[in-house]
Amino acid sequence: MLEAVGERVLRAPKELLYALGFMVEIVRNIPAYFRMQRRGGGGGVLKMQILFTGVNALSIVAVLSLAIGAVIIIQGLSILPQLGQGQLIYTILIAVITRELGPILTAFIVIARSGTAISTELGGMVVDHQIEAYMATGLNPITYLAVPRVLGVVISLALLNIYFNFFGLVGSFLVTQLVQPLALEEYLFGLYGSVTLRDFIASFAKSIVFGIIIGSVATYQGLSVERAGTEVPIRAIKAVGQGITLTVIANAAITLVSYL
Amino acid sequence: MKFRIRFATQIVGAFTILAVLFVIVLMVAIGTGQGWFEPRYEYSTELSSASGLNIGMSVDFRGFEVGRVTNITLNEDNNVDVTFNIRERYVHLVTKGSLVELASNPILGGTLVLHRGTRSSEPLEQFSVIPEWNSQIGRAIREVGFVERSQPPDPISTVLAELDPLLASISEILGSTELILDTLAGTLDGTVTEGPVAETVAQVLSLLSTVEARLEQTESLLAGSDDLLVSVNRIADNAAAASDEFRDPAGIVPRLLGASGTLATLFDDDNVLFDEILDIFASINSTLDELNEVARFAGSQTPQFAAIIEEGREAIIVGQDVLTGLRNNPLLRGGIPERIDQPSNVESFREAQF
Amino acid sequence: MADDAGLALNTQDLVVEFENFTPVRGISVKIREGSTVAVMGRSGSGKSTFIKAASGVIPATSGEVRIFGRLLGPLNNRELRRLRKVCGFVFQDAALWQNMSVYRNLALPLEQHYPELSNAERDKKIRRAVERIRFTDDLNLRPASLSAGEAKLVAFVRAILTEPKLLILDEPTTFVDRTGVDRILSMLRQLKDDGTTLVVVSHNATVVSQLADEIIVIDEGELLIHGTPDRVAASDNPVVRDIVSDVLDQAATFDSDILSLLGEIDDEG
Repeated sequence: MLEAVGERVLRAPKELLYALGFMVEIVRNIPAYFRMQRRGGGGGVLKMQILFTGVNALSIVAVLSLAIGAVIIIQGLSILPQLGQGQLIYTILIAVITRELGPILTAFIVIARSGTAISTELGGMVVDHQIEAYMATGLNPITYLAVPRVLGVVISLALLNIYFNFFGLVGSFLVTQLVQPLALEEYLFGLYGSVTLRDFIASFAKSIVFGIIIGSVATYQGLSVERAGTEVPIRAIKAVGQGITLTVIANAAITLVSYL
Repeated sequence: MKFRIRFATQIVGAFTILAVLFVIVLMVAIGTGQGWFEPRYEYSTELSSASGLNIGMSVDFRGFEVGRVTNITLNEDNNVDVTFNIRERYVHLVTKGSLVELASNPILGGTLVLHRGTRSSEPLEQFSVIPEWNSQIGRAIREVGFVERSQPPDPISTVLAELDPLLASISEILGSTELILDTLAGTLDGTVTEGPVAETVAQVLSLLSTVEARLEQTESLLAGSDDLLVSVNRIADNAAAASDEFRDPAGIVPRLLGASGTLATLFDDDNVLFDEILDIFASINSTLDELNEVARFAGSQTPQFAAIIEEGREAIIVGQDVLTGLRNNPLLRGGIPERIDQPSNVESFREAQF
Repeated sequence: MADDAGLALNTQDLVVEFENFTPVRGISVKIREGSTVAVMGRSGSGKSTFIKAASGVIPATSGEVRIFGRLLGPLNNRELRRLRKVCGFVFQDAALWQNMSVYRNLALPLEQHYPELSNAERDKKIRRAVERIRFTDDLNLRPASLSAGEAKLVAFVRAILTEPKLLILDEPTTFVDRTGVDRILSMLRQLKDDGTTLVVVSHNATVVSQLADEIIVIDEGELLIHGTPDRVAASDNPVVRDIVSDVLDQAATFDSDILSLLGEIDDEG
């Protein structure tokens, strides 16, 4: 028991260091990936990754953000005017949808859908020696497999965040019309008044960071499978757990930094 | 599914372009709305305190954002240098005589309010210093009417801003009243044979006219706002009534002075005058009580209000005592009765924490 | 290093350690350029791990590997690519890339190593190689729809398409039917004639007896013997005898004429 705890504690920083090194390795290999793309290699992995991670997640993101945006507006409109602070609804919408929920909820959706998919796919490739086959052909698995997947996740997440904002802010307005009509001009004018460039930058920065985290964690866990097929689901679960944990921590850190 | 894979490139392309388009449209819309692409002109001002002020706070004119605070520093005179910018399209509001005012309240945060100068239509040069509303220069500019007060951003700040000079005037009047009463008492005692009674009363009268003007101003400002400020309105009414009574040609003061300007009338008509004076003081006292309530509501930020009110109340108490003393003049009645002191919640104006 | 001259593959105290066992425990071999070496051993003896580490497909825990004199290890992407061009590898389980078509599986190494080829030239090369192994299925199929034997043939073609100077094969003939084995055998023989160094892990008596100039026997992660078939056959180590005689017996049973032919060559040598 004592030994097990000690071993875990000692192993944790080593694994973290290794994972960080992996992340650096991915970033370092991005130019190599684009060189390969120019030579005509790469085989559309990036495109497919965006299709699976971004486009295919659009419907769930849309439903989620529509519902959340509508709820915020309805709650806000029923509570805030009682305090004489009706205008605050827009500040709240921007803070909640653009700055917080947009990046983090899309990140959760992508972790659940693509994080698992990537780690399972790569894990399976390790098990039936496809990774070794890449090595034997002289294709660096990081450049050829990890980089386009991470890039795909980053791009998809940034785009999904934009769609989340679109549906959350614009779409939810339409939903609200059914419950409590509000003039479009009034709504848009209120939004213009409350949003700042800083909100956009914070939101965008979060998407990029979350994308790198999710992509790196998923590819790292996938490639960490050693031999057995049974390792694959274990690694996929780890990819989800670590992805969520690191994303939430990074979110807190970025929010903190952006308000300093 | 098959369709999606076959047209993956087109779908991903559309997915990307739509999102980027949305961002661009949004950026342009918000950017033009907030004037990101508009040149801005920089001005500065000096405030006595930066409390309630922060960088990025908006500069408002009649509720419109016309610029933003860009920098705050403490200068060598321990005042606060505030730098702010004004958007090009609003720069015509910054003219000779323009003033700025920090309107902040504990609930809504605050804004820097710009008041347009009426002296000329020529915009001030960039980097000019715009005086603060309550600064000496600011007061001077207001007095000569070179500035047009723009709609303050919210009623609470308005009330607080208006109460401040009003209370100061009331306090001044009370001080003068105390002086009159002292003189009156001295005259009665025979210690003062000829005093500046007439002079003092004239002073009081002029002060009262200022108070009245202020009260009218406050009232008109408060006219639009509803239930929150009813009590403030009532205070203003009370004070106005008191002031009216003082100014009434047939009222207390002329009667006090009498036709000959002596104090003979004080001893006539069965204490009616005494009672009237006492009534007036009682009404001012209750007014001050109500003001005290408002000041307390306005928050602990403004202990000076409470202190001024407290001081005013003390002056009234002294006045009441003197009047009671007069009525009970040993020549007519007998002795000053024992008073039970009301505990004060603020020690004194000077000891109050700012 | 003077010793390395003329060596295609040179391992020095090669050790591969996994988390809970050590399949390769210090193997040193020198393989001359142009020679054909059969690597033999019982199942689980570590021979597959050894050749993977020796070709740099998996990292060695300790020890050195030199391929044509070049030390594996601290290689950057470009050096790795250059090395991979001269060193082909056929996996025991084919290890075709499941996420692309059979055609892409064959085209990718060509794109990687011969970027100067035009699409048409590359296509021609692929068609010709596929024809040689008489692979008749649709090349646009996914590898998952191939049988194990067909997959193995594709994997073999994938490895030889880039014309490596050193070809390492991990059991190239398992799951392959007899005609398939014949085709692989004839192609290997041609590669051998062209001067390609071949390292073959195989239990197939025919392959070993027809091709091998030298035999390496590995047991429990250690090198038991490395020498000509004669020398190995003459070994008095019981484990070696057990492994090799089995092969030689099989060879005698299935392909006696070739064995006798081998004997004649040996006699002459």
